[in-house]
Amino acid sequence: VISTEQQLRDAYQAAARTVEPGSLRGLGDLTGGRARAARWGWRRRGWLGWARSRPLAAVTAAVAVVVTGVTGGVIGPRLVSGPHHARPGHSGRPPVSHPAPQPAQHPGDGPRFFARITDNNQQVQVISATTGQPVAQVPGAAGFVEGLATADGHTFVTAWPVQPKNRCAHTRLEQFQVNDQGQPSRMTPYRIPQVPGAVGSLAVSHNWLAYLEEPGCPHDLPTGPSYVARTSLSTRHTHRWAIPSAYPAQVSLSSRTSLLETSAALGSTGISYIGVLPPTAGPGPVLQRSRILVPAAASFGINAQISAAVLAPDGKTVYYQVEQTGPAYNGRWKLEAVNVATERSRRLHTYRGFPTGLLISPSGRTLVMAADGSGPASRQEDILRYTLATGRTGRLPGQLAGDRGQDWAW
Amino acid sequence: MSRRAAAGSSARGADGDELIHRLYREHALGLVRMAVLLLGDRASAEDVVQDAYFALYRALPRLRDPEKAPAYLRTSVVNGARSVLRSRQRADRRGVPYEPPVWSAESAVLARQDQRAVLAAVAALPRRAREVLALRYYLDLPDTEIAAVLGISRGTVSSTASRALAALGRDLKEQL
Repeated sequence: VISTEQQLRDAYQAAARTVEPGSLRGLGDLTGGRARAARWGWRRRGWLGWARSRPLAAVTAAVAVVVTGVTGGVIGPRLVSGPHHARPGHSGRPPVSHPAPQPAQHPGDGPRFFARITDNNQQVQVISATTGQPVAQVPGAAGFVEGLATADGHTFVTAWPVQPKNRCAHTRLEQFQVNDQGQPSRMTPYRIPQVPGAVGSLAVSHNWLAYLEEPGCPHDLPTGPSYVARTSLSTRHTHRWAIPSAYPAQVSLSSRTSLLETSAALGSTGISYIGVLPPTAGPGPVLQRSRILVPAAASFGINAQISAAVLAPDGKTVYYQVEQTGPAYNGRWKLEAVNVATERSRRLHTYRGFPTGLLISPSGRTLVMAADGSGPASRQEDILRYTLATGRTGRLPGQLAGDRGQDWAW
Repeated sequence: MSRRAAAGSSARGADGDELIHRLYREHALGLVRMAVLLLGDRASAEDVVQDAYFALYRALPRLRDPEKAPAYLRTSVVNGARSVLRSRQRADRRGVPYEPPVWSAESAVLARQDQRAVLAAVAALPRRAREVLALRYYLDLPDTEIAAVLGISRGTVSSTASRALAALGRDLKEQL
């Protein structure tokens, strides 16, 4: 009889031997572009592989049709009926672009720096909103950081999941400040020092803290549901709404109202939506208590997915990125705005590439977006800027390196 | 190159380059193999290891004890693997395929079905359990070092490993 441990060792050795000595690619020149070219090389192969395998997508499409039909019936007609989508002033083909880099120039609106999680969730960087270049690293970061948010662009809140022995996770909340020169202070405990579960997405306003609460229990402990949670900073009272799947959902808060925006792309269910939860929403499932503003499938087709959404500080508009996935993928994504009162969407711009993040300045006048123009598996993101008053869009000179789609805050 | 970058590059110097290349020759194979166990495919594994060496190169001016470089690399590879797994979740949403894991029948890299079954059962375990098992039963690291790599206590390593082995044993028994 072979023990489980021995079976495991044998299997590991067999799998490890599939990488033969001498078959690794070289490390290359560490200081120049050659190393990066080598490191990103396989991703380009992945991109080509993806393009070649598009015939497989037909099968995915058929499955998606069935799944969307079934889940649409289960979760509610609001997600698949009655598209409230208008294109005022829209005629012919919308502008499509992936803007060229612009000279470094501060947009004249919003804080001069934003913060972003980097280095495989080990660090938080301060990045210039003018150049897109990192200017400092936040000292005192220790552990694995999962969430980052700010209400004013100067004080940033970070979420650090902690899993004590044999117990479900809780999350430590810490804060740091960024001064006018972009230099961050050390991390200190936030006014609400910890919340239960693992935080999947974090938002703060002047009065509220909102987060996606995932149970994060060891595998032999009972796992509870996930929640969207909103905590009053003054009373510390928390309201929770159950969410059917925590993957991958996000929350944003309006700084001047108590509105909470939630959006989710519910993995294999094919459902993607944007909704708002009013301050008076009672407990229950988030989809039942929310007012759905954008049912992605009904508005943009069954393969459409909301990539990121952000609620304007005045609570009147939600800006969002939407893209076609799987077989309908067309290498483009749209920046849209939905009016919270009328639930009508309008298109602001169409970009080439892949959207990976969206921020709005505390004044509500400028959007900053992360997007990738080079392929779905690339790890370099461009930083795009969109001025809401003029409709002008441009790209910052710098790029975001590292893992795509990491949390950031402005 | 900015003044800041130039200063960093100078601090690393030719000795730094030599150190990194020596570490690559000595440890890269083992790290890629470990990353294959965590990720399932070689392309991603090599990429994560290259990233880890690049990160070490950037961190050289802050690295006081070169003896700690291998531990730094192991931690970087484990964190990089976590990052790739998260990216894959996002890629799944877009229908972007990635290489099938070496333990899948589709990849046909492993000839023995029983070994494929063991690795497939490991792949079904939670992330931390997979990391603990790979570090303990492939790299043969002591629990204290595993705890340092994963940033958890030694007791958590021990309990995670025993629970993972028990779950694995049950799973494999059911398959027989």
